[in-house]
Amino acid sequence: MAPDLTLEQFTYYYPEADVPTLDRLEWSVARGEFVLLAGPSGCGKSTVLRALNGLVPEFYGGRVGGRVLFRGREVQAFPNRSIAKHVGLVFQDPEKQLVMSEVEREIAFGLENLGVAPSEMRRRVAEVMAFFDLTPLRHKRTVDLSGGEKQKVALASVMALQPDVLLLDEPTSQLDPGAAQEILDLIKRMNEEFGLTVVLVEQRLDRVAHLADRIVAMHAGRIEYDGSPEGFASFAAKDRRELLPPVTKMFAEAGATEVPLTVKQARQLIAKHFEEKETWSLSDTASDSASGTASGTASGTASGTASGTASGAAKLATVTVAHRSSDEAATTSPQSHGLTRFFKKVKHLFREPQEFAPDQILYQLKDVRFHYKSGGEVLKGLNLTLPKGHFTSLLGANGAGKSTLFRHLCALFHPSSGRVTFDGEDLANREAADLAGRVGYLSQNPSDYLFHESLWEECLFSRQLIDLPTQGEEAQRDIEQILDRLGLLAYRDRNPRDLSGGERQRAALATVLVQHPQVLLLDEPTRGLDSGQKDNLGDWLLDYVEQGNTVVLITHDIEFAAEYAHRIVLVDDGVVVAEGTPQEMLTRGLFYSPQIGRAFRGVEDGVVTIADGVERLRARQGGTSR
Amino acid sequence: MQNKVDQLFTYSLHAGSLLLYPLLLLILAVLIPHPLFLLMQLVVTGVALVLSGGGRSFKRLMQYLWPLLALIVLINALINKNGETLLWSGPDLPWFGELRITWEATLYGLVMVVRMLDVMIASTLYMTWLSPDRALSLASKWAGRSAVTAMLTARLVPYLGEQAAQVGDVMATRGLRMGEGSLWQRLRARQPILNVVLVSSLEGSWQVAEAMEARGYGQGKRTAYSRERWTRTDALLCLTVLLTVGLSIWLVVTETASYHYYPVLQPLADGGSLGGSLVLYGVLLLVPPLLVRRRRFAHGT
Repeated sequence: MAPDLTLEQFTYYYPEADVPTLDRLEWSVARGEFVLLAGPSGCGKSTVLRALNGLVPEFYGGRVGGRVLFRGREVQAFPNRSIAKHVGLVFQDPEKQLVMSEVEREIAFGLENLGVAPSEMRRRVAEVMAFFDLTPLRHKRTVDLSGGEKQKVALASVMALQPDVLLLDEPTSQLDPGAAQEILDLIKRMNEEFGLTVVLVEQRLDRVAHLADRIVAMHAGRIEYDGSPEGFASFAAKDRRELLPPVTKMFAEAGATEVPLTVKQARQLIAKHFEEKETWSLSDTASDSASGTASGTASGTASGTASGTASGAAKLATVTVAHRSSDEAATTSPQSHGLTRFFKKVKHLFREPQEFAPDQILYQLKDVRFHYKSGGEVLKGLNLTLPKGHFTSLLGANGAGKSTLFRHLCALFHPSSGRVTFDGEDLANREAADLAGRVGYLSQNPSDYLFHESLWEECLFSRQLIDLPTQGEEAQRDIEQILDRLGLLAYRDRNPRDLSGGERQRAALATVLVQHPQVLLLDEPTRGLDSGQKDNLGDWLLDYVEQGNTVVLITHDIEFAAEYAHRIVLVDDGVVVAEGTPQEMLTRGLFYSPQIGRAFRGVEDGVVTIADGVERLRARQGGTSR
Repeated sequence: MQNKVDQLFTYSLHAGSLLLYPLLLLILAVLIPHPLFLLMQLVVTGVALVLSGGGRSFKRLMQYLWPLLALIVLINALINKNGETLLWSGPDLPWFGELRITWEATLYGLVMVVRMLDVMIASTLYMTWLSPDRALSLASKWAGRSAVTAMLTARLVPYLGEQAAQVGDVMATRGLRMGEGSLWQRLRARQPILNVVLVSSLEGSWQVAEAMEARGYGQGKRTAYSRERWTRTDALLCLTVLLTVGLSIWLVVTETASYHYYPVLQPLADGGSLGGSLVLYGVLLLVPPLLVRRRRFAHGT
């Protein structure tokens, strides 16, 4: 039986590109397989999906070498986009893939395109709506749906075509954790129950690694690893730590010989070693390192084979990791970054007072109530103090009132009752523009900031708005310094809309920072960023706080909040229900806890960051070896 | 452009029959000049709108519309020099002549406002009863591609509105002041918002086009999805509309619903058949919304 999808020496150049985005890929996906495509932003994952669906080169143009086959037949040989019947593609942004204004008609859209008979369409639409639990929403406007519902509609509209293969390009990156989990559960169910072949691109491997039969890691347009999830843990621990889920990274950085891929596996390992007091085999010497065997080869070739079995998730991944030498480990960036970050946070915790003196308070919200004209009350007597020089993360479900709270901090909204003060000043009579230059706000969508021809002009525009100098050496030096700190100096004359997702976000941040705000308000800044980009952003924000500034962010990314924030504030139903340090806040909850915390639950308290975990694992090793 | 839960009840009626009634109202508002008939239409369709849950949309619309309506009355009273019943006369103005306000011209302006309100209520009722997708799907069998284009445009309107509000907030936090200075300055201050929305829309259209192509758009002849069913209520509704059309033709032909404002106002009721036909007119106009309302109760909303 021919594989569902095959790439034969496939090479692709985007129009006007000199470097290939995909470079001689030789790859296949068997029927019914669940394959996870991993890799940093810009490595070519999304392009692979578009090639498998025929959009590359048909929609994008560009130059192509090699072939793409669906069940032995060239994708380009399917006339008039009829490949869409066999290979469905779901995109990242639910907003940008819905065409119709009503749910039921959206689901029927693809069927109409493919000329399906009306009676058959009615049957399929009814069936798909029932499966995805969309029947109650059938007549709802798509614009009124939540992000999760929109993505479910997008998925349903592709599944109505009854494809043999489903390609998904980061389908959960724009969603909150609950909605993301629902989408992933549906995908897994379709794979298991209908034998649907699934190729999933995802940045957050911690969410999906346990679902996959096979993981493929890409880098710079080439496949570096293709094999079992267990083998992937080994490969990434050695060569691509930025791809590892947090629990795997923690074990790898602690130098453990057994590296888990999922929280469940990590819990089993921790329970085994902490409760039974068995010794850890840590690579504390270079000789140990030398004796380790690498199953994921450094050469970047595929070490595993596409077995197509679902055993990966169920089995405990006991992988032998090739450890680095101690010298190398000491200079390794992820590990050293983790420890630096840990010490910065410890230092910060020691200087944190229990009660904030008036001059240390940046924002104070007292009994703030707010209701929209068209709806009910959103903030219901919210009290909150945000101190200066802290990194605070706001957590809470969608609709809890986080974004409305943020709008009060920017003076975009004013309370229906209650009081918001900024640096002792009542914001009741202030407009958002009055705070520009002191408060920097970065919305979820960086594109909202960018419309000039070059990044440089964009920065000048920001400064003009608050009457900061734009001419002269000093102004130039100032802007250059900020672009340099954000790694964007090389792009100063580029159109910011031509930058990649992570770069675009930093460009938007630059337009805010050139105004020299003392506080940064960031709304979901990690959405769509890969692991390396998140680390860079987190480290940069910690440095920013170290300089005496303040950061407040809204996030659904618990791991990011755990790793970087000094304070966590939990908002629910328009009030603050709890606040404290990550160690206090993120180890008690079931859902608001990072992977690391979950792995240590019931065994060790106060473990939330990778550095916390590494320290505990090493301490245990030290204790047991004595 | 609301698709409220209230709209769900209309799904038990055919889109064609739901389209017919607002269309009839629009035609009547233009054809019938008699103030009493126009007022009757206003009252009846106003009730119909409230029964259908469109009252809030109309209220929102009126927030923007009332200055225009006031302007119609004012301009008509000032400019229109017809009519013999003088209410007030002012000085001679250059190029304009004598300022002269008559009772006839003022009332004509007021009736124009009623006519305008009739049109607005008919449009709001149409939007309350029918989603753009459903209305346009009526045409998709014959003009598939044009219908898709129209649906995309209909979807774009609320999307652009949301995006403009979002970008406006971002610009305000960057220091853009949009509420200061003259009207021209305030409009100019909004230019960056327009630029961002324009560039983002172009980017967004690329992504939407890609998503459409991924779902087979452009492969050739399309079929049309429809769940419209013809029911007895639809037949009743159409029959009532036909009867109203018949009555209206009779009103126009017999000049029962005609009315003259100048040089002096014609008496509102000349006796004869006006009273009876006015009541019949009101009753016939009330039947379709009541039929729709009945389906609403049957639907349990």
